[in-house]
Amino acid sequence: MKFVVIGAGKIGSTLSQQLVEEGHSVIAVDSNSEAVKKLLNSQDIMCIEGNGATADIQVQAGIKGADLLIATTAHDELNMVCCMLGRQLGAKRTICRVRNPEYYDQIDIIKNNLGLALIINPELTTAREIANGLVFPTAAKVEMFGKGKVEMVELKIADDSPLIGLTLAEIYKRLRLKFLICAVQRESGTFIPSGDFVLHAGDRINIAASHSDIERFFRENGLVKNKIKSVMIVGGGKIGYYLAKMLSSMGMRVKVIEKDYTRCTELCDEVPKATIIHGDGTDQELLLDEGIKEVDAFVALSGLDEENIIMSLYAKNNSGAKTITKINRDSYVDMARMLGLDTIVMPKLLTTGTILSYVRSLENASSESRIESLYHIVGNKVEAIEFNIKENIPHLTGIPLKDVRIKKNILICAIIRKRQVIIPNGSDTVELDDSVIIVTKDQRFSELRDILE
Amino acid sequence: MNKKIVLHSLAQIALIEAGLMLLPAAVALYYGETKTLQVFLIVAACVAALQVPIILLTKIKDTDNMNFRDGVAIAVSAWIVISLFGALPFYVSGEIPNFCNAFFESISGFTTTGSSILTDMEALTKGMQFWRCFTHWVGGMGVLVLTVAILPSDKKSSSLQLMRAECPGPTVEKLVPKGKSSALILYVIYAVLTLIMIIFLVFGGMPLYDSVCTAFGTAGTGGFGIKNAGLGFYNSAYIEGVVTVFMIMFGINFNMYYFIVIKRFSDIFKNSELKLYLGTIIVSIGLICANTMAYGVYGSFSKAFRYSSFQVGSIMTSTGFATADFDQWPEFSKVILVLLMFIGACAGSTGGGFKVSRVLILVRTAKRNLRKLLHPKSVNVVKSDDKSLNLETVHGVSGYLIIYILIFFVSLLIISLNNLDFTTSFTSVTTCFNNIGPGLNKVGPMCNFSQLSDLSKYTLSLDMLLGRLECIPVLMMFAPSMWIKKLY
Repeated sequence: MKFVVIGAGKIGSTLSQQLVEEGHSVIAVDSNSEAVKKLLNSQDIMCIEGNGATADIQVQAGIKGADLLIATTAHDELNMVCCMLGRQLGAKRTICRVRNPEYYDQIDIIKNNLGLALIINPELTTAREIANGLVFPTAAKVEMFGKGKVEMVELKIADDSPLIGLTLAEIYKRLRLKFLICAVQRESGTFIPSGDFVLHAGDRINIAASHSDIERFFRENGLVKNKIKSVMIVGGGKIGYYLAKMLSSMGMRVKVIEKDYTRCTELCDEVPKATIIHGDGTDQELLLDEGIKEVDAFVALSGLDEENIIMSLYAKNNSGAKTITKINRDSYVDMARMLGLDTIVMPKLLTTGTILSYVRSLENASSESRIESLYHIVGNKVEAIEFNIKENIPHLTGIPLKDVRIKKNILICAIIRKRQVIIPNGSDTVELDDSVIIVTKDQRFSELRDILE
Repeated sequence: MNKKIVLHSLAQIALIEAGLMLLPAAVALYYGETKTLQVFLIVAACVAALQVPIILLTKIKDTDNMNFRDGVAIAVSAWIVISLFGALPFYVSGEIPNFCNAFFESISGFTTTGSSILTDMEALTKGMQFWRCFTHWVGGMGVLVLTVAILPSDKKSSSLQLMRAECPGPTVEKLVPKGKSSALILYVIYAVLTLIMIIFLVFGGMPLYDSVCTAFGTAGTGGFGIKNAGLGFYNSAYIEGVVTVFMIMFGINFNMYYFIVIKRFSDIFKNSELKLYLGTIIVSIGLICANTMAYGVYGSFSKAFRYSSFQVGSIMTSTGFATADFDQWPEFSKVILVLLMFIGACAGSTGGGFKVSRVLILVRTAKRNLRKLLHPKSVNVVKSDDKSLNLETVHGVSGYLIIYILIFFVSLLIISLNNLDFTTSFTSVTTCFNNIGPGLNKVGPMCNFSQLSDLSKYTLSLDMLLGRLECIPVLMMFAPSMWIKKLY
């Protein structure tokens, strides 16, 4: 498919790279010549320098007949103009980035009147992701499938965990819970494990199960931490705002530390339940004064990756709080993990995941299975995709899974049938109208039948 | 540079070349030339066999990224490697017994120069002649572009790095977002135009084999003939007319043909390089016509027009076919031809030379600088096709001019060791550096390069490579930091 991406910033460039990797044609537009040059040198795409909100540039970018226009410039208003113009000039669908909370009150009017296919708000998505993580304090990451029926959590195996040295088959037998370990990350690489896989100390595993089973899994392994009741957020930007609002409505005590005084007053107005502190989050005395030792969770959301890493390290070393660190640069993620920061959020990957699942569901619109949701769970390597089966698929539906020939590095990790979660074993079958969650490594799927050999 | 990636890519390119050698083998088979057939099959098999261990030993991992440096290294080494392997059929078959000569002939073919050391080309077997002309066709659009078009595409940007190192002109633009598709489009346009030309030639009564060889020579703007008398052999105004038109067409930026395909005609009419290119051709034809008629070389206008238009088209596009011995023309006409040699064809075409677009940018830069002196406070930009060029491109072109002149002088110094007259030395460097073919005097259209020393032949071979790859990639290879990791 043909894509026009306007704005070659963090999200624009990550997105174009992922689209190219999926085999699409991408034309990127940006008014910054340096950004254009950098993109052109690193990706197999076409770049145009200029203002994407002008008809001339859009026509040059081949907007007529483009399958999708994605506007991800820094300004919401500019994005809206780009999308409006693109629709008029012949783009089939448009995706617009709108992140100003003020526009969210009338978001439906904007969406309908501009004919937008999708609105993305990286800040809101990120805040949701962080809030999910705070509900399950032990898990590093939580993803939801089937409207929350199935959850997939990422956690690190502690050095004294009873699971170390056991094969997965033994673990399943011992715990008698309905869950599945669907991906393991280790220094030597990422694995989609089979039954004879042995866990080591320090592995990061992803497990899929229903909410109650995951809770039980945590309890039986002594992983339960106390519920999080108080959260300290450093950085009162858009993510901080959305997060503070979400958490305080969940009944948590929220403290936001923000450098800018005017922003502080705005936050006071917008999130009345939260305590707003005017100060520098990197100031350790301030953190101590505000009770970093007592807080249950610490979220670093400042604009600088380096600051976030340092603050989280300080919080980790001085308290038992769960830390969540926002990082924008890919290269810092591994470094932060090496330093022991386990919960890391990357806004750009979350957003591109949303767009990619939309793109792939466009691709397979006519087929028998439909993509409901898609997550990148391990960096960019492993994907978890939820398919809804609308028609029978030969060689798959109605056949016991042990007789289905599935490609390597693919795991069917959960089936949702009539609102019941099935963690499948070899004798289970996939039926019509089921939702199936699969985990794959290094492969891209837009249709369920492609997983068959 | 990443030597593993470079070696791997080189082996792939050599494999493609081995595959291409099967084509002349088929021709030899058709004409029953058993010995030539054997030579091509053996050489192709040996070249291919040599690559298999290299490809197996240099497995590329996902983490291996190709940067611009690697692209340049691949481009330059690839051209040397294919020229070396391309010389083998001439040498192994014994049709060109001296290896230096065989290499000169091969690199002259791939760089689409068309300078020859052969005194009697009709003595070659049909299969060998076909290979000689076919190297023009492959070299014209580029070996790396072919590689990008054929090989499975990778998801990184390596295709652009490769094409940028090879494509002529100050800036490289892709036609469509994907590098592989861009390369394919270019080759399809190229092949279709060549096919149309072959049809036109056959229609004019030229034998099919001759038409194919001539079309290869024209399409790549090369200039190897298959008859000692060149195209004059056929003595047909129709054939010369067809060749003239197609030479000029292959000297135009191929993006224009893509614009025709996607019906963006306004971009063609806006293109100032195309206007200057066609304008120069028309003015030169007029001047040479008048000059040759005034000195009584040709009696009638039709004759003068026929020969001058052919020659101007041939020289300007850096093809180098000759129907007339222009060495006998008056000085004014000869000087015009030498000037045209320097200007060359359009960027993004198969032609060589300094490129019309660079001339255009230089002239406009000079104009801007003059205006700046007149109005010191004025702010001016250099524009091309209604778009203002960034300073980097403008500086790049000026820098290229300096490198171009320096290389020219150094080569001239080395060639002068042959102790030939100035015209011969000067035009032999001019013609090889600009990938044209014939020069003046002792290297004129009716003579050849066989009397030069081996040193000169190697120098001129290097000049051809420098000219085809536009100097900078080749010079980059001499930088120590290209080779030694510590100096990065």
